[in-house]
Amino acid sequence: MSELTNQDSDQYLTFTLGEEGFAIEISKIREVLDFTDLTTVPRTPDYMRGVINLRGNVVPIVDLRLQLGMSAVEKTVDTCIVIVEVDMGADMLHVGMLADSVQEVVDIDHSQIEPAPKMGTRLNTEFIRGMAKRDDKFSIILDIDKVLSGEELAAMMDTKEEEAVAA
Amino acid sequence: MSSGMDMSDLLALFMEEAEEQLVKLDDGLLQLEKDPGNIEILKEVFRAAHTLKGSSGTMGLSEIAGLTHVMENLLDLLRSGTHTATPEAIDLLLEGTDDLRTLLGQLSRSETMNVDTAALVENLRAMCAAGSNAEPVKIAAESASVSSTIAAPANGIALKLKIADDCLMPGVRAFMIYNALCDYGQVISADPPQENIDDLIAGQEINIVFEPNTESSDQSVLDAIGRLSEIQVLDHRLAGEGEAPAEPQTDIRASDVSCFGILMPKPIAENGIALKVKIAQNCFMPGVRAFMLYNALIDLGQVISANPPQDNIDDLIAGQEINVVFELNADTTEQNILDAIAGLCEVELLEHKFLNESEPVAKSQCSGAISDAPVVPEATIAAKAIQTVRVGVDRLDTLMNLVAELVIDRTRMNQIGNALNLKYENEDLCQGLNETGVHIGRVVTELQEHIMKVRLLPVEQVFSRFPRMVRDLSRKAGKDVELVLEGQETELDRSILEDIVDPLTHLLRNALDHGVETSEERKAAGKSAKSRVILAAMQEENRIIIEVRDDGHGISIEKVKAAALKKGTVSEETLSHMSDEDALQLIFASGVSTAEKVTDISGRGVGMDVVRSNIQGLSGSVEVHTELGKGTRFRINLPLTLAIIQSLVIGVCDKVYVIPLSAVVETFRCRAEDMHSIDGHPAINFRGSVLHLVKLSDVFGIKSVNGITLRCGDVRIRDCGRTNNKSDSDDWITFVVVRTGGLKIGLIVDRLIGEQEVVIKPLGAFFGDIDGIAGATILGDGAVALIIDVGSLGSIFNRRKLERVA
Repeated sequence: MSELTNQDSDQYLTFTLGEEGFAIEISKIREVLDFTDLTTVPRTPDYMRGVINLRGNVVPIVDLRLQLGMSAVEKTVDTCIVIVEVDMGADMLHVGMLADSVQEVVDIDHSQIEPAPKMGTRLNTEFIRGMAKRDDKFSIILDIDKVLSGEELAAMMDTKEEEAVAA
Repeated sequence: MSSGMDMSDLLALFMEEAEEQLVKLDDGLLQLEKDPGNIEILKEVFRAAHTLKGSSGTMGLSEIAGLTHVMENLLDLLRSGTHTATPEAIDLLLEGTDDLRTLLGQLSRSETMNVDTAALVENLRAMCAAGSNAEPVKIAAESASVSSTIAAPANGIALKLKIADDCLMPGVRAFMIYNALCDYGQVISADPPQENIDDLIAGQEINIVFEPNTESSDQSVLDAIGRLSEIQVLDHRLAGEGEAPAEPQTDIRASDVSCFGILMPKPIAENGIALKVKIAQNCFMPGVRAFMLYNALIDLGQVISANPPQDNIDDLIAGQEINVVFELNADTTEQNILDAIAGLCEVELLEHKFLNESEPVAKSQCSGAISDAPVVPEATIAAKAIQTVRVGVDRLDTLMNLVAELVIDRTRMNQIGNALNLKYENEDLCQGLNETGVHIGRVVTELQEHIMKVRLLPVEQVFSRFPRMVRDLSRKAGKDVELVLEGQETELDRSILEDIVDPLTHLLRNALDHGVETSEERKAAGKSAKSRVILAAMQEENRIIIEVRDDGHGISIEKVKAAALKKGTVSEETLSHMSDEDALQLIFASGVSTAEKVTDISGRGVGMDVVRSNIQGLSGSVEVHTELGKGTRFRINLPLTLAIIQSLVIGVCDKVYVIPLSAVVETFRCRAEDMHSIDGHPAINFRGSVLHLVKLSDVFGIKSVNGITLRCGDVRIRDCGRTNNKSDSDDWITFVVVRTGGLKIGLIVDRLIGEQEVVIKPLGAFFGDIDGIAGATILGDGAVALIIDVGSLGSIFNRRKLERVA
């Protein structure tokens, strides 16, 4: 339990999307669920995969791959829904993200985290809090609030409008 | 003594109770204005003021306590008939309730309370003084009796006590002092007086002259007080020996003792009285009420016995009856006792009988009546006591969610049961499991229904605020208006209730200002001088109708047309085609007002559009009907609740959607070849008129999943007109006719699944507003189904139609 009081490191949940490893602060994670049937919501962008019933609450599910500009993948047995708490202005929202597989909870020392590279990644660097080096691999630490809210939401709305017009 | 949390809890409880008492005050005062002599109403109002004073005093809110105290004084004078309830008195009292409301508002927002009540308090005092002058003799007599008793004690002790400066509830501490003392003897006088216990403030000193029982030593009294926390004994000394005690001579009567069947520590006096009182059913703190009862009695004599015993006061429950045998002081009259008990709120005197030897028959009867009255068995009392419980809406929502979870688990259980049945065909246990599953299902459904109903509140909660408003406004406008409330018990969802206040306020203001005429105008028109405005609520199927009716001069349609033209809301041409009924609805358009002059009540032409948009926001509608010279009627049509709707569950491809039943006109099936194309849009001849059809699968972009082609109208509609070689059943197209605005459209669906009551869940900020989708709901099997927003679907349809035409 000494890690909890150790200010030099934080706990992260690591998961994969395709070949790449990602990490999100454990404090943002609410729970991890097996993939269940989604109810798709029409007239929303592709990366909004739909909604699920989480103990009586309707929770939106985002396909993180599409949101991060990666290609969509058929679900496998490893596909999981990671429920995260997103800070959207006044409210804390629960949002589910699709992850190809969830790995483990690890302690990452602050000294192991390097700033996000300015180039050479397919991801929008806005979304990246840093790169954590573990063993020989890098995990991309996502700023999940940015990934799932703010301008993204606005952008999403625009897309929706375009779609509506196009339809 | 307590943490901040406890205090805020207490404060919240106080605020709720205070709000209730304020409503009672307001209501009562208004009724009193119409019926000044009604003693029942006066008692009610007095009780409300008294409770408020008590609770604010114990909370240490001296400003509120101070104001309620003078209001209570005035009400007491009105109640005793010393003073009549003149309009001036009512005005002052109403002004008082207004100030109290402001004070409470500031308190709830944790602002400092800065209402200047000094002038009002002074006025109230002046009015009290004017009233009390009428009976100077009585007061003189009272003061004389007080002074004589102070000098009286033979073995009295004078105590000087101080309540701790940081005491949260000085009133309660004082109660405890008097309570501790009454075991050891009798309090003879106190400064501040014992009955003003509620006005005590922390840090105040109390002087008490006390006469101990013969068996109590001075030290035992001091010890008893020493045991109380937050009370400090500053000084004590034996009072000087005075005249003979004023205490009446007692006379032992064994017969009385036995007939009561209660062990009596003291013999019954000649002027004994048996009291049977009842604590109100809805009393929050029965123990405190009983304290107050004994406290009130102490001044008038001595309690000889009580059932339940006086010591067990804390075990009392609301609604319980208390039998007290009481020995009156020589100067106490029957009326004194009745008054004292009537002055206590939430305590009701059921019976009282004198135990006088000269009336042996009456005595035995009374004692019989009282002792025969059985102590109600505890279980019944407890059942009676729990009548209302305050519960937060969020808790209900949580309950609702949990019930939904149960429903899902039940479904799963059924599935497992079925699977087991197949596996072990002749197993009794499987049968048992299935039966249990069915039973659980029934219970859960009922549970769900009840929780839904709990969210409903009577409209009275909203209506109760209007009599006051109407009174003030009609006075201001110089009109004689009677507001009649009907159907106050009609229940509506809490959230709707909150949002209906503003529209109703607008409509009532309009009715008062423009609707009804002055008495002179009415007489000239041959109507009764007093005009009536009726606010009525009623339930019609699963809708709630609220009407605001007045018997005024009605709305001139010509004026509405002129005003609308002037504002440019409509063109002259459109207007000429409009029916009168349609033209009348123009009053809901922004900026249209027929009022000749703008008053501070209304007339600016804003308001009616706000009324309509507010009501539409609640998925309701509002219509207006008028008859020139006879009056106007606004009819608001609201859903029973926003959280739960009756719906039609439909299937499109493999998806399930829900359509609010309020929007559904009917469902219909037609053959594919009956469809026509108008401007490239499918339509049919439906009961003699053209009905446009919209494919939900198109609008929502639903594709058949996994390459399986589901039977939907999809392909065939585009092929309509062509010969179809598929089987007969494929030729049928099912559609749901929905109403949106003035337009009817047919939504082509694949399956009609059934009617169901569903709980609306918002999709949340993450999605924002999606055209065509109003929210989501969770079906019995745990799946999420989307609720179709027929209104915005209509606009999508219109937009497309325009595009196609272009």
